[in-house]
Amino acid sequence: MIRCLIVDDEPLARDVIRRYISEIPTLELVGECANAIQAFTALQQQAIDLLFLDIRMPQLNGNDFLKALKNPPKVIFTTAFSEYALEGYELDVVDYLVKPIPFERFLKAINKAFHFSDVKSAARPVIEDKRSESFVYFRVDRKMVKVMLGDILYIESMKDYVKVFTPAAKIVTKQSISSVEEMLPEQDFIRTHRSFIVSVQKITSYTQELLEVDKTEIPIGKLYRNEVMKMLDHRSDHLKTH
Amino acid sequence: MAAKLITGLSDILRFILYEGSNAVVPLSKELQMIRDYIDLEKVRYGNRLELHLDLPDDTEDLYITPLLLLPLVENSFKHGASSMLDQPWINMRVSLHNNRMQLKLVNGKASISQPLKSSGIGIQNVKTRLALLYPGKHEFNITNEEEVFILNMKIELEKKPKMAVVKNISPVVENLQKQV
Repeated sequence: MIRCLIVDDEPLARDVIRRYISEIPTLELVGECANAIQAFTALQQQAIDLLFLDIRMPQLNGNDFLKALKNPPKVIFTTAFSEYALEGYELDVVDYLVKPIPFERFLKAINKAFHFSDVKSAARPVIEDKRSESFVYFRVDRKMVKVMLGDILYIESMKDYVKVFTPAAKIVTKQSISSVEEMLPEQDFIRTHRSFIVSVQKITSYTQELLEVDKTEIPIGKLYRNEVMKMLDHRSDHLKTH
Repeated sequence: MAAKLITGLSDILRFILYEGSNAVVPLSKELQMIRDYIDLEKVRYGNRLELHLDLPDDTEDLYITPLLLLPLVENSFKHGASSMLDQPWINMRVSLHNNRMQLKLVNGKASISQPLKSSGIGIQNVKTRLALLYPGKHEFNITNEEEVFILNMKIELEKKPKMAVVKNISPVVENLQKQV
């Protein structure tokens, strides 16, 4: 068992750490102190492996308290102020927790202190998911229609409207081709013509004048030819080297 | 749930208080703050909002002026998501090519929207800051369509903060912050 002591002048802050300690079977709480003076006594009376130490406390602050200790146990600073962190590193503390302390972060500090690998640190809830596909919405009549960027083959403009071609559908929406171009990531889509945008991934063959996507021939406009050829050559170079 | 929200909120406030006064901050921190902010907004909208977020994991040693991206993201939520009744959606992508950062922010908007001031104070401030802090090193482009709002921004970022530049810039930043 790892014997822990909490030193914090705020009862609510002690509550949180007490609860967290109780969640981890290998940790045992042996005492709580509201100030540094009490902590001196507690440390003399019993062996402590791990100290949760608040920095800003009345009378003697956590930093000075720690400096005054001859054989300090492992220390994790707990504080509402991140600017003390630097001094913490000088004092060789294990970790530095900024309040309010999330449980995941607390776990990480414990793992760091004792190099645990069995205590699984719950990963931070990451909302971004790169596997979630990139998409846009287009209005088609009364409906908003979701289109995955990965499904788009090519886009053709007709006056005030554009047609978006996917293997499953042909979507017609009122928007200019230039603004559709602005919506799409430029590394994945290329304007080949005044009236056409093509998904680079979906190109199966090309010449100077035409390229083929899904068995459809798409013209390469004079103005766009240089850009398109640069992109395609670069891509085929890239493929060769892999 | 409440604990997570408070933690997220306090992370954002801490960033604004402590990092917000610096001339530049690591890009990783700015992006983390954006994640925290979006986490909060996600809770608000729940499943109603469709969101695709693509931020780089590795930001190398790039630095950026703090709180530049936040007003833009806030704007997407404010004018995009919150004013849309049927299907709010946001697609945000930040990509890096060497020291060039590219932001593409696309969101749906209400087609019959209330008369908007062409672009709000948030966006205007970002433009002013770009002009002052990244002169000749940025592109900023808004396409405002009937149903969709598209923002493209490119900035050449610094690898490491130059101390001299930092000193010159901070009064400007301070001034701007007073105005905001």
